[in-house]
Amino acid sequence: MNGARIEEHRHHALRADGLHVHYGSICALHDVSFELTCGTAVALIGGNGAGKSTLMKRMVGLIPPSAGQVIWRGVPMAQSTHEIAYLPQRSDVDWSFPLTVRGLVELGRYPLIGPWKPFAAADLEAVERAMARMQIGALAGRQIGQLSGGQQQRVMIARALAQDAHVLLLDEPFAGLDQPSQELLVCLLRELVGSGHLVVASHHDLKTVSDIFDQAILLNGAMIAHGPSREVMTPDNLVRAFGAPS
Amino acid sequence: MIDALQDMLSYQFNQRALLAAVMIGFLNGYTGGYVVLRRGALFAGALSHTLFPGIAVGALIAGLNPYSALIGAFVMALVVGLGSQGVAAHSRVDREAVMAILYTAATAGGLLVLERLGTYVRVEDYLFGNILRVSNWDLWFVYLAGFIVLSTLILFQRPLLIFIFSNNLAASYGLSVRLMDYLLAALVVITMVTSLQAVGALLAIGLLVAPAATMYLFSDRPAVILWGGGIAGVVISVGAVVITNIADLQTGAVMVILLAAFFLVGFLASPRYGLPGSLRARRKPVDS
Repeated sequence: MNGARIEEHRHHALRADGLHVHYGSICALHDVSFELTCGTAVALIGGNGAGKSTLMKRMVGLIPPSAGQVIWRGVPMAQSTHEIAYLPQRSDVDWSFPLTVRGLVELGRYPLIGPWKPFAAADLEAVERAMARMQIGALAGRQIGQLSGGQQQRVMIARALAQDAHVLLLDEPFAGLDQPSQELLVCLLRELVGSGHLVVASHHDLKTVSDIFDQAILLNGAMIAHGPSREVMTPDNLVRAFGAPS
Repeated sequence: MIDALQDMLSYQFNQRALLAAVMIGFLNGYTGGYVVLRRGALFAGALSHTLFPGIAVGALIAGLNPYSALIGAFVMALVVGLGSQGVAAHSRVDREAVMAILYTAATAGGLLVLERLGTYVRVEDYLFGNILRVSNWDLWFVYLAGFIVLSTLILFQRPLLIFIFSNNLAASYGLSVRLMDYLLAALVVITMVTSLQAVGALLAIGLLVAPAATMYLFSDRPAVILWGGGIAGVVISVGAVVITNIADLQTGAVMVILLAAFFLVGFLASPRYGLPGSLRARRKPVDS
């Protein structure tokens, strides 16, 4: 991406305004508001059921809103946009599906070309570029189940890049990865942030939050804190997010 | 051999049977690709059990004839299929469980209806099929229904495959997951009703699932599974018509047995996803 485009990206903002999500009578998310700008890595921190996945799904339009709105680049999001990509947890993906790495990355072009338009040279190039960026070009012909966890995560990110997403919402991207895979993924995510993407990821390892992410949002059904990682990850805030250690 | 084939083709009913076999074979093999990819064979199998009571109810209302049988089977499968999807969407019970309740209830109702009508013997053609009795009208119906189903599946291949791969991905692309769920169920019902003449209500599920399931053993590309399933369906259906002509056997049964044999060969031969691959994987444990 060239410098001018990176600069333009950096001004894009994703804003949540008073988001509420209810599942029947259960309140999963209560009055969550924040503003994030592109070129930042943001960690979503909270215990199980704190609403991390719910918040990401709500932002990409997978869950109908109970109240509040998501504003992307100054406009309320009425429907999904290819500029915001949601990457589910690896365990939520059917990796036995007969799909190659290239086939999965190509799915990223769908929101741009629709159901009927054939793949043009530009689409093929976008797919190649996304695979190269995530260092999975050599795996293009492999069935997606025959990849390591880290490779599968990178294929999903490549799919998001192929769809020209500015914002990547990643659900537990580091879960189940070995150390080298985690380090490579951190490098690649930081590189995306450097090129102007907004990366939002739910994250469990409290020790590494400040190393990987610029900002952190602490959730416990409601917003506990939001700010630069080092300032937010205080013992007080963590107790409020996770409860007192027993 | 060639003389036998020429002799066979000189009869109009054989010509019609072969034409029907081409479309029914392709339609089932191609549509079956979606069923296999969606892991929906159980659902489709349950759906096929509604065809028979549908025929019975059709016969009760309008007498037993091809029209009442097709319409009855179609309406019953649609009511039970979409009904179970609807009930599952609005309750805690999953689709297959609701389906089991609805289709056994339908079958029980069908039995009571048939008992009242006293037409046990005459429904045999609809249970096991008889492609040699395909009329011109049947042929038109098969080609029209086949054209509608195939053109819909081909036109919407991209969104349907995304939906089958991941509901979440489809929804995040703004596609209606529920609409595609219903659409696919409806197309599977039309396909099975279209096959009634060839293989009947009891064997329809075999013709639907076996070709694509075999292709699934060999390919990681959905397009190969879909089109390959269609082509395999044609070859085996036509082959079954020819064999039964020579050997004087029940066509639907031969078709389904050939398909099972085809699958068995695939299972024994597929280097990666069949028995050889599975044995090799046991000998050489893969690093986790």
